[in-house]
Amino acid sequence: MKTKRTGTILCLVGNILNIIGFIIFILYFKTLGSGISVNTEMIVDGLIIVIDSAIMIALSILFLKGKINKDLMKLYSISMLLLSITLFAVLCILFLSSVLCCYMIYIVFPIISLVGSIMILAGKEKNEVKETKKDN
Amino acid sequence: MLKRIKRIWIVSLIIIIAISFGLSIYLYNTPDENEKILINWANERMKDITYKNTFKIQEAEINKEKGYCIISYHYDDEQGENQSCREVWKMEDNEIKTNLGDLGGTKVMDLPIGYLNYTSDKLKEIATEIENDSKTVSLDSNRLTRLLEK
Repeated sequence: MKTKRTGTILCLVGNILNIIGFIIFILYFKTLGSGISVNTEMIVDGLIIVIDSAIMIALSILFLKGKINKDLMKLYSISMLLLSITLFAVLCILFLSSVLCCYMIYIVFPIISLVGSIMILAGKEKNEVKETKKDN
Repeated sequence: MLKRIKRIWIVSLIIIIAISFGLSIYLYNTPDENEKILINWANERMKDITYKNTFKIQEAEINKEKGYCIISYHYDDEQGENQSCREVWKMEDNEIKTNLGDLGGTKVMDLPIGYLNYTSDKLKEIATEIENDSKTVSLDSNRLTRLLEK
């Protein structure tokens, strides 16, 4: 359960940083004039990233508050992993498409989230292993 | 109740992931309105260029309201020499139509009647005005190059 909790905290931190990072990122391009204009792709992908991150934050808070039913734990773990992968993939597509490589540092936050979600899934597996050992 | 929650959860998850991936890939592959204008221009421009694969757009700024477009591009000519241009183009009906001249060069353009007042100084004046206008949209050259190659 500890690994699961640590993973959830990592996901929470990663996604909060993700949202803050993306808002700063868009504001930087839009107002300070970095030589790249904000195009439709950046705005829509940004919205996707913010919405996915918000869902993951909501799920993490629900888990930390103990509001997720034990029967829904597996679904929770899989959802976090799938959403993390989606977030990472969308960001990779965005960077491949238009944004300069020097802003690749921004990809660190989804990686934190991805590591967190893997820990959530791993935590589940460890618990299951412990339970089977006890049964034996 | 739990089964219902599970079902709603799974369906929502699938929808969110499908929309995220779908939109992202669609936007990656589809040019927007301004990019379409520039791609049409580039396809026309490339007809006169021997080595089409050397044609690269470096910078493009479009101001639809004022009807001007500033494009920086380079290509290899028939002798294999690299030609670099930064030109001002006049737009008509959402299309880039008339080349008004090169901002860096001294080449005198063979302009049609009605465009004769576009002297070198006038072009530089227009370019500065366009660059500083808030309604000017500068296009992403990475995206343009990728979309052009398709």
